[in-house]
Amino acid sequence: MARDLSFIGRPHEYEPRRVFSLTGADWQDRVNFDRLRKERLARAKEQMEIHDLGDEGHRKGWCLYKMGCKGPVGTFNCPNARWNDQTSWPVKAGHGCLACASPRFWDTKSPFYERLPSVPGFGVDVTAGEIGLVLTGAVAGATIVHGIASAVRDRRRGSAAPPPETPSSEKTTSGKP
Amino acid sequence: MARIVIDPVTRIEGHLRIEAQVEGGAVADAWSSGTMFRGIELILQGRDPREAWIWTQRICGVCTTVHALTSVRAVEDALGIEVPDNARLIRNIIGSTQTIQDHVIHFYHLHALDWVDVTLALKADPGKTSQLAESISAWPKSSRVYFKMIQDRVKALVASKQLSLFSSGYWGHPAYKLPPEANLLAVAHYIEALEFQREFIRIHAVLGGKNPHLQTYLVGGMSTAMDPNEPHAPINPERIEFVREAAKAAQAFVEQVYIPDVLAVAGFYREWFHYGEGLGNFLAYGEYPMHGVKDDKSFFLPRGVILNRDLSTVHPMDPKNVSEYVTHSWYDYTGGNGAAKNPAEGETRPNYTGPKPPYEQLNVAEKYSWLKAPRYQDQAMEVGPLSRMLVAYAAGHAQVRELVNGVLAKLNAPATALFSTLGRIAARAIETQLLARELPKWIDELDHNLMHGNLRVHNGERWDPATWPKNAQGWGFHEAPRGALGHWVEIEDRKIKNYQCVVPSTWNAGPRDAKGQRGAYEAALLKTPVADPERPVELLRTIHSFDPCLACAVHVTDARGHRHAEVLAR
Repeated sequence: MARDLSFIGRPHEYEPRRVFSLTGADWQDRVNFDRLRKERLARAKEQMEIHDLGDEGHRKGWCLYKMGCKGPVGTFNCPNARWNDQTSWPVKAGHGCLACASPRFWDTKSPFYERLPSVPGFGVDVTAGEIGLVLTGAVAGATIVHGIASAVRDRRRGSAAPPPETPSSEKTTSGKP
Repeated sequence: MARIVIDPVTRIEGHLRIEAQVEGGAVADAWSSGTMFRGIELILQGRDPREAWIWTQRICGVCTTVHALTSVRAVEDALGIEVPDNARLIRNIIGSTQTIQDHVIHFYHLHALDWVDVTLALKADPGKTSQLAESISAWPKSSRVYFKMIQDRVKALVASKQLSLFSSGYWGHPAYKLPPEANLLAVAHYIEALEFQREFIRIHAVLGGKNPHLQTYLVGGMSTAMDPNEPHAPINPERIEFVREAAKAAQAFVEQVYIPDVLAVAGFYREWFHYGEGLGNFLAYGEYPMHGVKDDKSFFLPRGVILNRDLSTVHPMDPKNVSEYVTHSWYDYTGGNGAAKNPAEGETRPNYTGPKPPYEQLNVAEKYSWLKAPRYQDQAMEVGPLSRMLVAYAAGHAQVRELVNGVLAKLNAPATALFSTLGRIAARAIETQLLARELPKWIDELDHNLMHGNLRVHNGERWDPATWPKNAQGWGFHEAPRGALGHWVEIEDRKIKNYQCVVPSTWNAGPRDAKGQRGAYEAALLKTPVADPERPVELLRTIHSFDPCLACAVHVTDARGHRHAEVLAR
């Protein structure tokens, strides 16, 4: 089944959620998203296995999600703007994000040292684990809530109803005989 | 007889109200009232003790970090956790950095305008100012051209009629005594200090992720992982070098700007060695452990109590002797409000019985403050830089003795002169110099550990709540810039059952107790001369010398309650 690759070469605004560059190209396979996804997922999963504060992963600045980091639902530009004349920010200093610039973070983001308990705005039946899975799959910019929200939504739509391009291809196949 | 009311006191943190009875041109009696309810203790109940520091730290963002440090120490004390050596060093660096920055900000931005008349700076001769600057310090920014530029900036500000941060002063008050040149010098350094504090506090961004509200504490240590070969490690040789450079710049600023300025200003206001003494009782929890926090003999600044101005004896300090009264505070205790409670059994049950705002006067015979009244062995205590320096001086701390004696000799004043408004300012400057010299040593030690493979920053043995006892109680302490800070925590079934904070400004700004004993501000204001009740700059000098922990407006009312003046500060 041919992939819809029409986005290649089109302006970025058509698909703001995807990031295209030469890093997605391969001289044999051209763009093999499956391979890229697998490799990155494996790496991200491995990095998320950081098991203790102060271990090697912690020193290398790997993901702190399991330690209770609330970065995936944060709503501030902390990682980009950084603090005190762009010197640092909490995750760079080794501690999970509290999402302390989010509305009512004191009620919605605590306990701070447990994985996201329930995430408002994603619908009641979406668990933090699911968000985490999508997150690692996409290796998305950790603080872009919209990106994660729509990624979760897309995934759920995909399991409940067929994705948009599938019905059209089904129509052509079922229309032929 | 006139009742002066200052509410809110500005150029401080928080909401403070001072009522003073003036008789014969001096204060006959005074009352200090905190007009804001805190309540963080109640928010903490039922939460994970490992995150208590995140909440307590948000009590205040001016002397940020101090409640976080105290809180992790309290929980570590309760659970019997010892932190690795690197965590001790990082905490010492963070704490001393906070104190140095806070003291500089206090002197220049919160206190200097009680002594410096900005408008007089316009009359100064930039050439003579340059001569004055070069006679007291080797600080390079001292040319005639530089001071001319500063003067032109102030002129432009005044011409715009928007005085901005200089708008609330009692300019032209007869109590201002500095010559125009000294005023211009102080205004120049006011502006330089703004830049200095911004650069210097980047140390906190490196070691704490950000400032305010540092975010790298953990119960059991710190989250700032160390690795000499890892460019993404929170602490690596490049970051150490950054911190070291900032510390070096601080030492230069403190020794070449802050200290000479304090000495120069103090020389014109020597009579303030006789005003604002207050209680004569001083309390310091001690700070900067050179080994563990349990080994209080090893602290860089010693722990102890001084009673009745007696510098020959330092009494040992035991947290069990700390208690709080609510007789004149808007709280209720079970079992009656006449007896004090140790914070370990402390309660926070607010019960506001004061007048409905807007009001003219508080009923000081009854409850009149949101602050409790802390006492040590039933005696009121002053805390802060003066207490720390006096306890260290009395305990024979060689560096403190040398610095204190040096300053006293330059001002030609006896040791007893320290018990005063000016003494507090001098003690704060001396402490800043002391810490600016000590800070590079802690950075070197941390560097040494980093380069020799000692990379442990966190003790995770008791991180898992399953390892905790069913019940645990603990006490944490810290010498915050403004004085002795203590947190008491009780943990039950892995949750916080009770939490009490006894903070420096509660010690200093607290109301009377059951016996009618005054708090430190109330006592220090007695006998302070007031030349003009409408512009009580003298009262502000003594209150500000304690460095009360926001700025809105100054309201002054006379005995009949008529508002005489209202000056908007921001």
